[in-house]
Amino acid sequence: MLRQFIEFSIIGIASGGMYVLSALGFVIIFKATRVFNFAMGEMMMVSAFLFLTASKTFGLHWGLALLATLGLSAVLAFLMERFVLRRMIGRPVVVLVMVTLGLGSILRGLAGLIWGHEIFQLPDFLPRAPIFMGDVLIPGKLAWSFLGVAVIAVGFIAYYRYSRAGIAIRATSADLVTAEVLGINVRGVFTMAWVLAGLLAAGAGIAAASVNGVSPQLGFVALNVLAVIMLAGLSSVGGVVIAGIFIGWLETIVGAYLGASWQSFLPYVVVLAVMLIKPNGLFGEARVERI
Amino acid sequence: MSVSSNASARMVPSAPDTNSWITLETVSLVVFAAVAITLPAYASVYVLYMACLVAINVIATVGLNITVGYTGLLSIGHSAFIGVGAYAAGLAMVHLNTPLPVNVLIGGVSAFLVGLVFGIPSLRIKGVYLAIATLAAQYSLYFVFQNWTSVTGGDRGLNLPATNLFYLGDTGFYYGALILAVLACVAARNLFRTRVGRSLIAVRERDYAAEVLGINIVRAKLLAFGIGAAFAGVAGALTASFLRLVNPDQFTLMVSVFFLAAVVVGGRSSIIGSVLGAAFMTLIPDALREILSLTSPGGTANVAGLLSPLREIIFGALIVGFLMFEPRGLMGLVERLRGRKELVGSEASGD
Amino acid sequence: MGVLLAIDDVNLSFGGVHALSGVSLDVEKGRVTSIIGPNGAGKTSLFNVISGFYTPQSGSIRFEKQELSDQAPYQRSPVGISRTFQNIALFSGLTVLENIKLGAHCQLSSGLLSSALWWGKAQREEAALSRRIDEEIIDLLDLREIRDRPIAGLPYGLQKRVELARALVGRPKLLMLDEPVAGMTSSEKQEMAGYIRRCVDEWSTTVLLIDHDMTMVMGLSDHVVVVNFGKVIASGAPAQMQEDPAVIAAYLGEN
Ligand SMILES: Nc1ncnc2c1ncn2[C@@H]1O[C@H](COP(=O)(O)OP(=O)(O)OP(=O)(O)O)[C@@H](O)[C@H]1O
Ligand SMILES: [Mg+2]
Repeated sequence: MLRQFIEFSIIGIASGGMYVLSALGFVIIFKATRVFNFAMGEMMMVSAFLFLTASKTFGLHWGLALLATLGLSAVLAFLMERFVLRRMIGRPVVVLVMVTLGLGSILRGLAGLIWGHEIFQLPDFLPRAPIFMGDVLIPGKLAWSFLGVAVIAVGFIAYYRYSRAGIAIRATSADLVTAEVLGINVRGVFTMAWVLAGLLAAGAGIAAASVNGVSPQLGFVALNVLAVIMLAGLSSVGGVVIAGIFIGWLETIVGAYLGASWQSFLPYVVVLAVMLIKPNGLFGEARVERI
Repeated sequence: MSVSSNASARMVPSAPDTNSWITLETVSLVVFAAVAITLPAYASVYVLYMACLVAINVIATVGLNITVGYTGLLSIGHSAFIGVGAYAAGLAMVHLNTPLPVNVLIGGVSAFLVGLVFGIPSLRIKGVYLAIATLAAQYSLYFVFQNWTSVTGGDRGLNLPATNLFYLGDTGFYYGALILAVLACVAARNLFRTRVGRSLIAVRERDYAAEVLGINIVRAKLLAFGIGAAFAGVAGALTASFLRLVNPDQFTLMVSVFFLAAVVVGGRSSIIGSVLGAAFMTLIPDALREILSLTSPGGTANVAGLLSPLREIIFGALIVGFLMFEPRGLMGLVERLRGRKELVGSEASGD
Repeated sequence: MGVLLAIDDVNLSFGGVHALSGVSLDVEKGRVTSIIGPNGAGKTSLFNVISGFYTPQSGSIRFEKQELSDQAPYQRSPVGISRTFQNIALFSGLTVLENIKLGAHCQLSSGLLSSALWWGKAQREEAALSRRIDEEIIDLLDLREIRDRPIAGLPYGLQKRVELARALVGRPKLLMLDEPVAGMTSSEKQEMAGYIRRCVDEWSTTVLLIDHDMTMVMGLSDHVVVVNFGKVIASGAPAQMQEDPAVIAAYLGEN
């Protein structure tokens, strides 16, 4: 009984890693550009398909396929920013968010046209052998994908904290005008944020698909990430990590004990509850708007 | 910031030829009314079917436009509120055998109330949080539709008795839907001639200035969101009677995106735009099917597989394309064709 | 004359920045009180405290002897406070008339149903308001020509005037103007000062004014309050202030 619970918990925490990655992708774009990127899930989905095509159709080694996917996802994100969102800077946020929703719909449709609507399994590039912690068993794929995700997340956070680009993004997020005055290339920051988000989407997409397979609907699963972000509050990168893992855990536990149909909806109930009690999220801080 | 300076450049104080505008407006209105009223006399079953669908979608689109276009609140769960109206009306029909007018009322009120439940936690917070709450509505309501089997019938849904309005069968339903669509448009139009509607626009454009003028922004947003949901509920009640079937798959996220596209394509903050947008978006999938079956050698079987992804691409492309190149939607195109180069939307203000 | 607005020992800080420290001042009924001070002195912050946008850490704000602190921003218009903003805050998607009408939002009361039906009260109320605006405001501020134009595209000076109209239409007891002539040409400034003068004379509105233009401040004010670094450093009659050593030092220090 207890052992089973622990097992489910570990599985949940491991699958939360995927949420952490895509949530970081959301947050980075939001921090830099104030846009909520509703196409994030579709970017993940497309990345997973790219990985599938590279490794299965073109028979690349999985390491090469991963590199190709990272590159192509970054290019896709770059194109979206350069040719759509860049041209709409200064428009109301609602409009920008609707545009990302439209972009997501286009990507989903394209994926359906190109790859069809079945669920494809990624080739087995991760070791399958389960890992035992004491007498608790963790599926091998999950453990390894979590490890991969953790490496990317730690690398990203370090980059965000300490690199020049990361500092520029944070400065822009704090005060766009001042950042501009200080000589930060704000447009470059916007592009940078999207490219980073593209990379994160690739990691998250492959991680998600390596466990559950990929179909054009994969992006919808990623929408739960929004719940993560709400829970954390948009301003907190550290909060996102905790919230992502929590949501992954909650989803798995709920799925295991109540059934799969409860999975996609319970995170939102938690989020609505948090919104009622702490409007800025559990880790976010309230900002006094300048008038 | 850059946009506000453009605004003056884009404004050409063309002499608004008021007289000819009024005549054109009146003429098109009269032609529209004549066609709409006489339609059942000569239209095929298919055309009448599409006309009913357009009328229903007009109601839902106008509602969403009040929330998204006029008040600037992004709702991506509109179809879930249509679903609430449809189920509420359907249940009333099944269990109480209520007539259409009562169903419509039940649909509107129940969707309004459910809308408030989701609006209250999110509307206190600024920004796009509402979008997430509406996503929550989309998922949780879908979940309820699907899993509360004893009430909703689960995936099979509810089968409903035929509605016989005015003792005219399908024609009667058409007139019912038409009347409601016209009422919805007129009511929305009136709303924006008065303090209530003005306050919604004020909240969208500059919330702090609205507050200084004594507008309770949380209440205004809640009201706008509730009205949008109520219109959706009315449309849902009509859908239920029209299709005589309510099931969860009528109320997916894709349907919500469909209505967002209708608002954007027609023109945000424009009632006539909503009518155009709803009609355009309703006819597109069918036109698409026709074109595909004409051009595709594989026949109908092939078409079905292509249709759904193509629809997603087209909906998405319409949203992106119009927002980028014609933010005022079809209404903007119409005015452009008529040579009225007024403001191309005044979207200078930020969030 | 009584005190309309009494600000008592207000402290406001943002993190480490003390925007207001122990600010106290009284605004006398029927008079023009001006707040002057160098950039960043805390003038706008004080307005935002009065409007309820910023919550001070301590201190009290009483309007007609009623404590305002626990009133939400939207509850302050009905009691008779209105204002304009340093950066024009008009609704650019609406016309001039609609913007002005919004200034009287609190005096209208038609509900959702009556509005949607455009029947009875809603219709009467709107017509009466339009008429009143035409009679009282449009002529007073010379807005006839642009009455039905959209805001976007109007020249800056005119936008400032429309904002004044919107703040006036509700017949506020206290009118707060945040730099009403900033960025104007000198003839526009004179014009604007004339409009403010007219409102004060015709309706004996109490005015709280912020501006950097000394000619206008000295010409309009009955009472001047000088702030610097969030503190009141002097207050008194306009002529007196021009000679006050502390005031001169504050301004010279800035240069
Ligand atoms: N929302 C806010 N968050 C942080 N600091 C703020 C905020 N609003 C004002 N300040 C700070 O408070 C101080 C006073 O600003 P305020 O705008 O009140 O000055 P002001 O006297 O109106 O100046 P100006 O003449 O330039 O308009 C400034 O240091 C400013 O940076
Ligand atoms: Mg100021």
